[in-house]
Amino acid sequence: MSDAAAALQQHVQTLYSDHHGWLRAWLRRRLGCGERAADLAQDTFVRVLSSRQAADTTAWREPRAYLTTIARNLVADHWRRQELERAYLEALAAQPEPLAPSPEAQLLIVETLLRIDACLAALPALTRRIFLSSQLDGLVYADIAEQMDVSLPTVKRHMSQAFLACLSAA
Amino acid sequence: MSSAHTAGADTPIDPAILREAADWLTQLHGGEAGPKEWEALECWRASSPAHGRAWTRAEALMGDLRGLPGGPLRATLEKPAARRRHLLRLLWLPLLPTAGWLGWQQMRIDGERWRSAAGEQLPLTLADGTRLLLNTATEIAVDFTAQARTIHLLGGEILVTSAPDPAPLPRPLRVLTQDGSVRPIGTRFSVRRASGDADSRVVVFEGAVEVDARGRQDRVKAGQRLDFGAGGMGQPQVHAGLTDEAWTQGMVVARRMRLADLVAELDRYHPGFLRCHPDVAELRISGTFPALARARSLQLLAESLPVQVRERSAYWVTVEPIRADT
Repeated sequence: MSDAAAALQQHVQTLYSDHHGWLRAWLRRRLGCGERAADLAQDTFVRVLSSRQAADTTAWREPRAYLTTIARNLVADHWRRQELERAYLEALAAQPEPLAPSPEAQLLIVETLLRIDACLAALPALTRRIFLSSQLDGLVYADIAEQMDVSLPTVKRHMSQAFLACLSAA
Repeated sequence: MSSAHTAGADTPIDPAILREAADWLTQLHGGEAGPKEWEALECWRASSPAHGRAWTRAEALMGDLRGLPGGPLRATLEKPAARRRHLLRLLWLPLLPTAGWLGWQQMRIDGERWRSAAGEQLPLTLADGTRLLLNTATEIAVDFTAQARTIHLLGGEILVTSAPDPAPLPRPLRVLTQDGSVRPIGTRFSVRRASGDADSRVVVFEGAVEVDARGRQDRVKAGQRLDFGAGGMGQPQVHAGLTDEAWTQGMVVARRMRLADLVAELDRYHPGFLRCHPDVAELRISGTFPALARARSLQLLAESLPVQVRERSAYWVTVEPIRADT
């Protein structure tokens, strides 16, 4: 381990012992669940340790602000995950032949959804719409072009942009 | 170690090659690709190891996308998600929570977000001393400025016990839903606008509130409730006492209620889906159900009526008629 890495770890340990308590309480208030709050508090420090910005200690002058920003994002991810999970189950329930995938399979699918969601989030709304029409509704490009009132090359351009975003994130 | 042999899946791929792979994917999904296109792709893929690795990634992506159901999932993925702060952009994490249900997603709403999960309630005390109880699956944004104290009800249900403003110049307190605003006058009241609801409902337990919706104002006093929404504003009515207030104790009270309505109510507290079979939808039921204790509520249902509760998974539960063969 390099000196810098050792120093960083030392730093995070101090941060942990000074701030873990209130961060956990803060998360608990937001989530209404102690167990999940403990998990996310843990994740927050893992993020700090693995973040490149952590080495830039200017962020540490205000450790509370720094930690709550990370924790807030983790809470947001947590809710988004629940939202996607719910939407997925609803979609399953709406199918003519209801299937109930195993919990393990569901977990994998939700992970996949989160990944795809993250890629799509950075794209313009029209790109996202075109991509989902193709990939989730199974429409061919000509139909999408007609539906969205754009040209065929435009549809292809948006599709390529969306595929690239997903491939780059992998 | 940096030999070429270890150039595995984790080695970065030239963005230009990824772009080519994206173009191939685009071609193949157009609905017109034939054997000729696949052959050309195969040539491209085999022409260099980097192409091969890019295509392995593309195949994994196709695998992920294949078989995803549309409908509600599509709507959720499509919903414009607020950009998250970019403090940790290298981590590729998604999104702030989306702004609640129904039509409100388009609006930019300021304020601090609070949210309760399905099956949980969340008590809060705000900076001015106002106390809130968030019922199941509820999201609010609290926006206090020098001029006003605003609580946006983005979805779900809240109980508000208002406090006088400690600021030197007292600021008005108001609760906004997509249908209108509720301004309390020293009071305890609840506001509901859950995801399946067609309009907003305010129930006043103490004091009074002023409701302002679609150009009309009305005063609702203790013991009354009022619905307001797209269909306009009703008349204040005597509220159902215990039935309307029970949720603040984690209960759902049914008085000769349609089973379908009760199941829909309990579904709000369910992290997954609780559905009622059409054949038993019209049965009537009375009782007090501990909504936060899901298993107990469902057991009570099954004891009170000729129905059975079928758990397809923990997330997906149906209330059905008892079958002859079971």
